[in-house]
Amino acid sequence: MLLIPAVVCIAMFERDMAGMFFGLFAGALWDMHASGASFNALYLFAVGFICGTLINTIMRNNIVTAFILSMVFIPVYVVGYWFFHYIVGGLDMAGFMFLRYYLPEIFYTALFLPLMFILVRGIEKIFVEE
Amino acid sequence: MIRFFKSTAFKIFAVVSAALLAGSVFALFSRSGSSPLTSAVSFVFGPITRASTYVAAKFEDLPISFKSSSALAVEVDELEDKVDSLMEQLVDYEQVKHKNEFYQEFLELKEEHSDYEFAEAAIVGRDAADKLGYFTLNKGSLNGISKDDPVIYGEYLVGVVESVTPTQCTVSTILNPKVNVSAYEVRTRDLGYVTSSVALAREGHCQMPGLSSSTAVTAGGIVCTSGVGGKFPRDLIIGTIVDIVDGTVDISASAIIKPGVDFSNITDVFVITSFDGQTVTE
Repeated sequence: MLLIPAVVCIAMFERDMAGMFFGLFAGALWDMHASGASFNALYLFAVGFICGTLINTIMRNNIVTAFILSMVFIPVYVVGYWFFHYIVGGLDMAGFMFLRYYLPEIFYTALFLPLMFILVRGIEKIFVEE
Repeated sequence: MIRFFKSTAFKIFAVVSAALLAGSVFALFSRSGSSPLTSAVSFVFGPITRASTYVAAKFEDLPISFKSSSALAVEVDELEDKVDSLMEQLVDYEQVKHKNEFYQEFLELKEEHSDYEFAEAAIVGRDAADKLGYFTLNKGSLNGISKDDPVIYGEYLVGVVESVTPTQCTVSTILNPKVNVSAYEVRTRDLGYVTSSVALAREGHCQMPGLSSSTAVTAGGIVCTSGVGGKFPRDLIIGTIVDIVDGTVDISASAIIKPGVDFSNITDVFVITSFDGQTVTE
């Protein structure tokens, strides 16, 4: 799940092209251990493109923006995953599972965002200085 | 806005998204259950996954020791070397013992069912988003594995292959509510099927619903695959009945089953790639 804030941060610094292809790569690796249907690749590809484009056009590249974007894309993924697997799949205890596992997962993942942002910014600085 | 839609980035985004969507649709309807991108990536990066799993396993086996800088350091070092050596021997012994037990069960099964064809596989990953028993094996279609092949540990049923790429496959365990297995209770010969629910899966249990309210099935009974449907071979052990509960909507009863294998602790499994009576879906 940490791949989502990672793609958000990298797309913010590297912009749309690099962001979306990093998202595609990260999602494809994630799919190796997931459904196998490339949904993660598609999602992270879109996240990279959207974040890079927003920073190119209307948003500033700072930690507040990173937090806002992450708090959009992490819940969208988690709620989407839960919805398609539990609600559409007709599984029992969907509400309990969401509150017990998936909702906390959103906040746990978001907690690591500042660390991810600082890490990506540090690496970016090293390459820019070189 | 028009400039945005005409930009190179957007054009690339649209084309790649369409290709990925087509791949996802292909995966939904294909025999393997995997998209071409996932197959290609797992083919290229599968060896890296296996290498990292191997390195991680080796690191887990390493004895961690903190060295003192005092005058006794030399003596401590010598003793630590001895302990390390003994620990390594112990780890080797435990690994060989585990492998031996694993292959012994396999040999018994192979002797009993000469029609089975197997592929041995190791678990190399689990999906972080999944909470219902789902893992990745290091073998795929190049090893003869197909979608819907049964996965076993000794004589116990573990689950079924859900999707397969050339070098790896993903498995849903019998704790996943989407998996249904035709089954029978050994003593009473009551027929039915085994499935699960989220509530039961959280406790590590599955169930055999639809039993008659006057069923003679009791706790302690053993449930095996019945072979009906041709998806699973007959007589693989699913688990032991721990309780009989009344149905919530009708007068039937359900047997609550504890699987014979702790899915969170297994590291190696066998995939049955072929058996007599297997239904091949095209």
